[in-house]
Amino acid sequence: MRVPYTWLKEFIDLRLDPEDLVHRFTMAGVEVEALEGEGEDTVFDLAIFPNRGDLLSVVGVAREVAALLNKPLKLKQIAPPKGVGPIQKKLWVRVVDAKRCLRYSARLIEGISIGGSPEWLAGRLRQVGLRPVNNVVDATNYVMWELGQPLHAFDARLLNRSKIIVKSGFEKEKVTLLDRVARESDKEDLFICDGLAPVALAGVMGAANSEVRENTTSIVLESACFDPISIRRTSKRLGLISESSRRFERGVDLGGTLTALHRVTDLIVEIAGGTPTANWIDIYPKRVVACVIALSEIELERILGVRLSILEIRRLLKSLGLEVVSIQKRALKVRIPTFRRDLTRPIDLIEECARLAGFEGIPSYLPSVPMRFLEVPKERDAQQKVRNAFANWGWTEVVPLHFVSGEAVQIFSQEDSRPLPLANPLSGDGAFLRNSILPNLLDSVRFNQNRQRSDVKLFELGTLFYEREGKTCETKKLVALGTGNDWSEGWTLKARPLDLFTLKGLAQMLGASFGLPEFKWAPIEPCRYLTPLSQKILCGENLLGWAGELSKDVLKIWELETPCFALEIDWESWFALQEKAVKKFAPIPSQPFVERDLSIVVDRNIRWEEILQLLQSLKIPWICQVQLFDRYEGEPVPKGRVSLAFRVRLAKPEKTFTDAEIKAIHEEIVAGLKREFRAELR
Amino acid sequence: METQSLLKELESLRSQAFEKLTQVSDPNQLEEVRIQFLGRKGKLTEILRLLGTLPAEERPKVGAAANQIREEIQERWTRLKENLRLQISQEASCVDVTLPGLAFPVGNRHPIQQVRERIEEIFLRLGFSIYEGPEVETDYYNFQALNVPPDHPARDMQDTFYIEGSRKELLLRTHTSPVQIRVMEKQKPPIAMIAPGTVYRRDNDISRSPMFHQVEGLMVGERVTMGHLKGVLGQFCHAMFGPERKLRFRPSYFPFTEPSAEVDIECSLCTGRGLKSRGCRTCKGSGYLEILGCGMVHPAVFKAVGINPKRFSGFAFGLGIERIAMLKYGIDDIRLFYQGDLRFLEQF
Repeated sequence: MRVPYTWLKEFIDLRLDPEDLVHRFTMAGVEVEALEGEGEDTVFDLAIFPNRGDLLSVVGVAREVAALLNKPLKLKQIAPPKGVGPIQKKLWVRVVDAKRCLRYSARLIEGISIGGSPEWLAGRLRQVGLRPVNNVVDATNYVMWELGQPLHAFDARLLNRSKIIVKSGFEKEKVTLLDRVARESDKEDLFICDGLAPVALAGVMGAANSEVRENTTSIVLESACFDPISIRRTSKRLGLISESSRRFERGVDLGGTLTALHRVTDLIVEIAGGTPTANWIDIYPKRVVACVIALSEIELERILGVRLSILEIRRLLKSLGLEVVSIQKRALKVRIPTFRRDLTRPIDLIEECARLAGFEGIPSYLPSVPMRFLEVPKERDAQQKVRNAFANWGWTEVVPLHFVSGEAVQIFSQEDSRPLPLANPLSGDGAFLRNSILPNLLDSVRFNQNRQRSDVKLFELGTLFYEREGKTCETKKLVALGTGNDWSEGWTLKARPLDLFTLKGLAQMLGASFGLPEFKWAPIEPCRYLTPLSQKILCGENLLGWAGELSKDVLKIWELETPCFALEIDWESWFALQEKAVKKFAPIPSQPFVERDLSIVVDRNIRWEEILQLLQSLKIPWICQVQLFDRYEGEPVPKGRVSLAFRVRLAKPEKTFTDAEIKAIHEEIVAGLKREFRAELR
Repeated sequence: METQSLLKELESLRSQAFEKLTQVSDPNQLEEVRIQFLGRKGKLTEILRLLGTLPAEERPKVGAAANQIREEIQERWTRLKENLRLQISQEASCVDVTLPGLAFPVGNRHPIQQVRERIEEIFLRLGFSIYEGPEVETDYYNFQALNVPPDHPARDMQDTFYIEGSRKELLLRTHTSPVQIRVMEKQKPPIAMIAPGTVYRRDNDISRSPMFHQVEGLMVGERVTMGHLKGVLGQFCHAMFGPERKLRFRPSYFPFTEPSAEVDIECSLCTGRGLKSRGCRTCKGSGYLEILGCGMVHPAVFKAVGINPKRFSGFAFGLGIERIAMLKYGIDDIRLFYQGDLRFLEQF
């Protein structure tokens, strides 16, 4: 809402510097979006909250300023302009839909001449951002801006049968409005019609068929009030917001139609000539009953935490134009004028007092509450721990947008669930809520690779969305995705390419740091987005997720050239398991351990897992750790064979080993390896 | 030989020895000095041989002086020898200590998550519990229970994403305020809670993202006032931004609170010099930066959850995590948070 400084001054004795007024506005809850021009030419651009339709007028803003500065508001006395002949002979008005049309006032002026507006008027319109059209239209806009009452002028000769009928129920009717766009009606839309057809979409915009034009000589002026919800629905549905609809949907003063009608009649006669009818039409079936609200000092103090005297409360409310109807020692009653129908409860009055008195006057102190155990989401600590751990282990946390494309949800969708599409996405790239975190991480990998970062290790513990059996589900997953090197080359360290074992190790570290038993790994079922290398992660009977390599198809879609490896852990399963994990103390061995290194050559198809299983099957109770420290293929190891070197740690809780015992164990292991795997010692 | 001249000679011997020792730079020279002064055929021995020429009563005096000088030289010599040894062993190991330290692979926590955890921590210390709620919400929890009926103009303040096929019944929550409704439905006052989480609005530009993060706060009890609201948020802001930053509460409008307020913090760049300094880029000359919205819980909200507004009162607030992170770190484009750009993330 643009308000010129000079226009304000017509209603209030204003000597304050515009910039100081901006501060007063701001601190009273009237947001100043911009301040244009300087000195007398200043225009305030105000952002009006939805509950303050009364501020969509210069008079409304002036009333607010009067309250802020504690100065009188100088309203213009508007007497009904005199005229000739009863209107009933020239115009017939009927309101059929009284639910949507709350009040309809009209007057007719004959013998006007259309032309340009005087400069004082046209200039003001330009100042507030309206385009001058002709004297009649400009006058209606001017009065709307001043008083907040939207007005419309019809060419009286173009109204068929000199009738105005206000009604709804036009389904799928084509109507061309003043902006020359033809729109289709809905049966809920309210129309102003003449004897034949709609001539205006009520409260939104006039129709082209009854528009005031150069040769117009008589006009019908409309000053009406429409139901805010009805106007809002129509305006929303058509995507058509006008200065008129903006005001109606926030509520226009039901008591003000006649004041505006008189003011605009007067102005048109002054600048366009003509003679109005002697009287006017005013259909107002359900008169609003002014609301009376009681407020006490105690209630105000209960909410604000500061006491204002009842006299101070009275002064503040009166300054807003509210009528104090009774006052007792500590309480008062006020009657709310029709222009402030946002005020309906005591809390509304408390707010008015608080903002006029200033929030800085409210003391600031801490509440005292009984001591109690503070609730936090049960997963919070674990989430924080996992996130910190991943970051400490070299992975960087991302927080991507949860919107993904239809193609991305397709690739990662699960059989028993359906992805969730948005009804009104911003773009096709974000038409769905994500059903996997991988597309987001892949996007980020590509983003970084396009910016000269070849080593990328990212993770997120976040929410994903889908529908299952008609129910909307939100679950969490922990996903890490990496490509390039595990770490970059240094002078002491060679670079190591990131691979499946990086992700396997990450999962193992995670399990160990939460005290879970060692994971089991199993080949994954064939899957569109993973290579057959990928492995399921099992903890006991529970499937926790997988670690694997993303398929060529995925790399192609994301235009990635280096192999990408990922770990995905189902958060809920993981959380349930780690909650059950018990960390229990085991006595620290009092005796030193013994280590023996074994270096063997076996067939290439012998899996490490099988060797571990063999060692287990030997049931040697003293083996407490087996660590693979070298694996080698190639000369001098024969083709098809592989050399494995590992260290076996042996410990007894109380005694030390004798040489003979160690020798026996060593031989037992070697014999087993030879027997099962045709192993040769190196 | 006279006693006096002998003593004089001893003094001069000491000065010579000290002088020589300062010029020593390797073990060979050091050994030479030892032989020259302290050795069996050294200078000190020579002087002591002359002791016999002195009268018997003078001998002990000169002897004592000679012994003291021997000890002094010996001590200096030993110290120097140790220093030389250390110096040599260092040179021998040949380590270039200016080489860089080991580059451990490090990752980073996302700034939004760091700031969220910090905010949670501050409110936990103030005695607030933490609750969470679903991101796909119903119209009832996101709007109606919060005093935003259908067709209310306040709906324009939060442009909403709807789930396809739900007839506008299911939506992506536009704020974390629905969580306060869910908590108040289940619990009786006193309540003190915060609800951090992801929220969505249909916006997209340099300062508004279609997805962002909020922390909602609520306190309800008997005699909870706007003074408490100011006290609690004052504590929060000072813990977050430092005690020297000034705050201001200015009236605003939200359908679910009344009175409603916006909290502004003094601009760090122009330190609140106000509108007259229209030049400041960060605060656009206002001297203050908006950080959160708050207010006293609206009676209609209490009514929706069955809490008697005549007996209980409360305050609520909602703050944007991105907003706070942007102010804290001086980030000027909200989109940077979501791209996963390592050059950005590695800064926090």
